[in-house]
Amino acid sequence: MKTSIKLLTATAIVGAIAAIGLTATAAPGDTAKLQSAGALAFAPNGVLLIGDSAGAQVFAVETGDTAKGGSGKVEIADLTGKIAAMLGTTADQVAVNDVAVNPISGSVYLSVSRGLGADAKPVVLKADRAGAISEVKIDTLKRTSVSLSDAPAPDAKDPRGQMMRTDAITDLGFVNGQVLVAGLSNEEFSSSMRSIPYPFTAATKGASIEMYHGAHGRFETASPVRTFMTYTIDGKPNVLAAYTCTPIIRIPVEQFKPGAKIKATTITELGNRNRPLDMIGYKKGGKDYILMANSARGLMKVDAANIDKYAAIESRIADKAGMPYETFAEYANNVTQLDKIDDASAVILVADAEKKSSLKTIALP
Amino acid sequence: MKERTNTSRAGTLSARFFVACFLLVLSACGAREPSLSYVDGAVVAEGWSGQMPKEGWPGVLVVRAGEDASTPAMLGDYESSGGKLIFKPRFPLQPGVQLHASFTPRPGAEPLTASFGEPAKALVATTRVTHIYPTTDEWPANTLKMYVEFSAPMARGEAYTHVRILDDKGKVVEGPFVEIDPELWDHEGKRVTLLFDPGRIKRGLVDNETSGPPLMPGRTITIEIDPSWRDATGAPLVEKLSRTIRATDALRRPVDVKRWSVAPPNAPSDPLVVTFDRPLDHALASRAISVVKNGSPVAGEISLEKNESELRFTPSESWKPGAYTIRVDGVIEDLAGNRPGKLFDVDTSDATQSTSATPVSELTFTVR
Repeated sequence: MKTSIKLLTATAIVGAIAAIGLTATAAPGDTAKLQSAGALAFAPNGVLLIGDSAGAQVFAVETGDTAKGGSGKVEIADLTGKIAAMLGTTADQVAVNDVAVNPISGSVYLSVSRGLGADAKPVVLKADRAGAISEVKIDTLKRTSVSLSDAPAPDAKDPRGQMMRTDAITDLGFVNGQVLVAGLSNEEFSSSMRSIPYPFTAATKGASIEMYHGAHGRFETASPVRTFMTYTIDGKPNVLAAYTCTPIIRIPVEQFKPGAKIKATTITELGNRNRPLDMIGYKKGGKDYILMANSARGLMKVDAANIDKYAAIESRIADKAGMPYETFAEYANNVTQLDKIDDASAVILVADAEKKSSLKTIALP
Repeated sequence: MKERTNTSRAGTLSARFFVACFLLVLSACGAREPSLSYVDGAVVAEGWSGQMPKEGWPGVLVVRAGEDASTPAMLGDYESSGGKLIFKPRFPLQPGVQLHASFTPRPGAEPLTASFGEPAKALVATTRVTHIYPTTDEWPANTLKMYVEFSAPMARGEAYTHVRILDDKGKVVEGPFVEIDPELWDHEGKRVTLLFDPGRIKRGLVDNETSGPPLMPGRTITIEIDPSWRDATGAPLVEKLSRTIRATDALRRPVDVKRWSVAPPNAPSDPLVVTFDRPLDHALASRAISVVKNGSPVAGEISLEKNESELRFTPSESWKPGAYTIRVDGVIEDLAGNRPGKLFDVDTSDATQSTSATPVSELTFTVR
């Protein structure tokens, strides 16, 4: 059977691991307030997905940004300094939490925190293709949200203890009409991803899927997902994800069923002491590649040819195995965010030695 | 172009924003002379009349948090009424940041400019580390996580650069924690969870086999907290913290409540005392154990003692004679992430090991 691979527009997939058993509720057109702005991703028609870890919720915002926005290269030096000035503060009080490109307009969306502590204010900004930055006023746009957490159980003896538990959303994505949310708890080492049908409806309860990792085909552990991207093989969507313990795994989306327990297939080991931060898929010269931002290796270009053919890694390996990759000296270790603009270019957030972040457009290698 | 700066010296900010009033008078006649002032956190331009220009209100009044014209304009909203154009910044101005306003009262006129602001607040170090959990000085080599608790809310995004682990030779242990983005804070921002890199703890992974666990059995490690870690006000910690731990053998036994001992209360207001067979995860032991009578939860307070190896439950109302049940939720973990009936890393080649935790375990006791 001929296999065709089409890598979809990969977005930063924010995942929030919701504790098993949590329910999702939604109120279309609701007035829920964004409490923090973290992981970003785009659903079709310019709908921006925002992961709100502090509020334990995911927002879907109709940006209305649905016209092509030019072809300029987005280059913004000292991005954090510029954002700080716009927000009336100093750069050390600003954090850019995620970057996502609207695949329709090509505008770059930024989730930002203004302030240092738990009371930091969330802001979503948009940089157009000319590099002009403006605010995306979430409160004025049509939006829906899904809560990822339950209120403390009525019999909870320790309300303070319940209040101390949080779920951090680490990545979000959209595939097959589903919003995928990955993350993990600040207490139990849980491992679920959540799959929530979009549009959100009040009656919809997202499905919680437990993620497991098998090592040597022998040891099984709960494994939170740090980042993921989607791609299709033979028209069937798959998720390529990185666990918190490094290995790259593949999961057919059809396995994302309510209550499923998925021991995903490990197809790549990246070796010691590195963290995949973001992944995008693209096609160049008729071949499929994955570009990965990695904590220790900067940008990695991974050869994704025959991605569906890699055998599961179930035996002892010495260092690395799976998909081959190359790295780039100019982006050795300072790329913190990555998203695809189009089949020829991507936007990256890079930090210099003084921790000043800049937004750059690069040609896909 | 004229420019003056009026910097408020008010020592403290009250609940309302400070008022730094400034008036520029360009001419000696008329009540509607062009002027700029700063009132309750808003820039007020007076002496303007007319409709919003095509390029929008920034064509009349632009406010920047920087002197350079290339600095992006501040985010905020404009209001126009009665000859006043008011700019309200999106967020209150941070003390120490200067606003630079430029007001063009009529087309072609020389802009009127002014700067406003308040001195930066002095940062005073008052926040300190109150606890590092586990509190025991002996940690299993496969310890999964630690919690650092502070006396006040902290800045986010600085945890992984301000906690380091030194080995018994004083050498920095590289990459002991898995660096999660966003960091794992509680709602108040007073407790952060640091997960030891599961790739180095889980058996069968490259990191585990080549780097080994961050804690080597039989050896000590020292945890150091850098005092430059900022709290939520931006101030550093009061002091550096160092704590030395001895690593013991890896702990690979499921939590088993049958190994706990229960001391029922002898008097109506005595606490129930449950002694575990090993220290448990502080956060989970605090909320995963409850006391039930006739199917209903008993209100009371839980405290963990003896390095999280003992639980004391003091009921809100006096104990009543009869049978009680201690319910333990399956999410409870020991220091190595083992749960009731399930190891953190299950050896699936061993048929006796379960791949799922016991959802609820129960113990009973009787009050006489």
